[in-house]
Amino acid sequence: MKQFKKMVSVLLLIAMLITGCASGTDTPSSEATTAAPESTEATTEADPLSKYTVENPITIKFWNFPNFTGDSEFAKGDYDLALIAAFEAANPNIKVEYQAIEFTDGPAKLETAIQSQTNPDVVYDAPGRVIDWASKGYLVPLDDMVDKSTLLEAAVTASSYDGELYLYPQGVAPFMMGFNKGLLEEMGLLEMLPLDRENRAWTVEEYEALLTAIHEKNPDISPAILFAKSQGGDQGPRAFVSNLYGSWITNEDVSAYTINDENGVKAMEWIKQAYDKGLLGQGIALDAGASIEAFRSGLAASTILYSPGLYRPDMIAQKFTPVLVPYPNNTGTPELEYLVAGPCVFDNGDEDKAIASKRFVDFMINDAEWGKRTLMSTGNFSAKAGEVGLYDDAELVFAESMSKYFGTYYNTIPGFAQMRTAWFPMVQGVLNGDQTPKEGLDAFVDFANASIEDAK
Amino acid sequence: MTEPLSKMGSFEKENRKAKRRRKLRENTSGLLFLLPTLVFFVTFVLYPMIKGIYLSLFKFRGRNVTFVGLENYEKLATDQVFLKSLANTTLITGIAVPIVIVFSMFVAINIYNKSAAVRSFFRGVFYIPAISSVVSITVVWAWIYHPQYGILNYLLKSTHLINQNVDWLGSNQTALFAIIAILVTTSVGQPIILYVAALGNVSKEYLEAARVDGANKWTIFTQIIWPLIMPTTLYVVVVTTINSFQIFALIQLLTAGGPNYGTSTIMYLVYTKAIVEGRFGISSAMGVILALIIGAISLIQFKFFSTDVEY
Repeated sequence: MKQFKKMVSVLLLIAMLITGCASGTDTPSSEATTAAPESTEATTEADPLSKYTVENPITIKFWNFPNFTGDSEFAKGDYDLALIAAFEAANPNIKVEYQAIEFTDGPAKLETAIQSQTNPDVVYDAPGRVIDWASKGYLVPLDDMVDKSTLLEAAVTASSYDGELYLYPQGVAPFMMGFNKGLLEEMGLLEMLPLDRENRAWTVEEYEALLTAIHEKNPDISPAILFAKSQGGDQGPRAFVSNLYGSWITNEDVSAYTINDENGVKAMEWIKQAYDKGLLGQGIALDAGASIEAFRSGLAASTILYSPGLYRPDMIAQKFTPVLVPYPNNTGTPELEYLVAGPCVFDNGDEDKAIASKRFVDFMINDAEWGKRTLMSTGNFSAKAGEVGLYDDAELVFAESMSKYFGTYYNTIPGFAQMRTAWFPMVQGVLNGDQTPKEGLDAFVDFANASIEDAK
Repeated sequence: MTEPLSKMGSFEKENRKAKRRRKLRENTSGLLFLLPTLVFFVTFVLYPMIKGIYLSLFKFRGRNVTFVGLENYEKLATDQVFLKSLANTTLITGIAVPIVIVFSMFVAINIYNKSAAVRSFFRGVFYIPAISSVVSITVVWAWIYHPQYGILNYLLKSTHLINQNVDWLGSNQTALFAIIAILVTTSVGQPIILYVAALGNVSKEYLEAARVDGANKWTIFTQIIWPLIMPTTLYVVVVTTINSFQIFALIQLLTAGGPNYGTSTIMYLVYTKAIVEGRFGISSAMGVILALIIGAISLIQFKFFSTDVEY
């Protein structure tokens, strides 16, 4: 028995040593692959990437949310692969590894990857997260590759931190509401939508009248769904609250939260009574995705969060006829939250990778063929000053015209991520009657203002 | 005379040395057998535990990490969301664990002496949720609980038990209990299997002797069966308590802690603070507190349930 034990012990030890040695030998060989081979030492000073070849390319990682979904030729995810193939064909010494991430769990995956230092080199995202990463020192500035004077000022401001550009703004788009035009037509309520008015402007009373009419015509269909779960798409409900009676989430210099002013409280009071009447659905435990799905499947007549990016795939699918409408507003001048979207480059401690990543970024924005196509696949409008009229569709033409109503962009405020964790609990608390609208908004603003200080 | 004595002394010394060498060899082989498990334990349990305690003493703001001592713990002591989450977690555990024990015992008692086919069928039925993906389970339950199109509202309205749709996961009155109901269905599988096995091991002679002595069913259960299956009960109680305290996926996928933190639990808050907000220090402090609570409760349970347990 002892002999047997001894033999097993020795075998075990040998096995572990072999395993250890095997992993030990990995390091030098992987180093050898990433290091420049001697045969390709004929590098030129002009191109730092010339040491990489087709056989020995530099590899960068690209992670993307389902942003490029509006191209009629490619299904979800396939456009990203086509873009990468085109880039690799033009830059054979750069290889792009692609990973698709979802809006639901993608942010968590990114944060985890950043902490474990396995993050990608390029991500296509919005300033809310990107500027937070920039403030924490995770990104490389893009000023050396961008002529900021050619871009919309609002987009550049939203994409900058401490005066440096960290997100290359490719597209901008307003967030609005969506209505199912066909459904309202069937109900005989289409005339109650402000489609023929200038800027499609309408009041809270007109909006309430339409919701009430829908509810009375068919109680099984939600007139709207005020979703309040998770954080994805929370800009929709925030813009909804701030627009009703002309309040705004922050002050103009984005240094403090102000949504608990008189008009903000009035808006939440209206929302509470409309919710109690069944006009805003039962969305406390539903997220933005479920709410938009209900809209797309005809179970809800409208959605509180809609945008050109969400509209474009619906337009291509042609399963129903959605229309974009601004949030009801009693001041006459809507103030829209807007999306800024584009790629950013992570500082992964490898200058060559940063250069290769910037080339990929430049290709997806400025390539003669793929730049414009990539932008249009997002359904957004160009962030390049003067580049307008990309789309023929009437809804997108209307949405582009609403860019003049872009409100103050506050997604880059310090502590933005922490503030978001308190927004929906406040909405839920008010809708369930745990707190009055004023109590809820006051507590939210206190928490949000504290998060600004805490983030510093 | 001195020579033989010194010879004897050196012989004893040699003998002791040989014994020591033999013991060392035996210990070495024993340790080598332990080594693989030890490596995993140290890497995936001990090191993260120590690291978690260490991280809880720091404040994280991106790459700026500042030592703050016990400040994170002080903040948690007055953090209303944390205290609410702690209360929710305790309530979930306090309700779910007794239900799991009673229900699984009830099922096991009713099926353990049935035919093998019947036993297997019921074990399978109750074990399916335990081995199914949590994501699939939550998708199904999300539709069951859907406020507008859920089958639960449909059934209750059809039977006139309710007049209008209930927002099961959105209402303060129902959300936590709706989560507990799912937790119970996913937790009873293993206890049922363990109890069926434990009941099968209770000697029939004891039961027959008790019946001959005139004991009724309740007396047989409380005086004979319950003490004999106490080791199984101890295991089930400890494991279910730990699982209930660590409830996360159901919360994350079904309510995201809502409504208004009504279903927020410590594990969910640990995730939110670390992954969503990047506040790893305070998140680690929550983890440490959770570990201490689970450890303390498990110790009490061992003390309470293990008085009659003999291994």
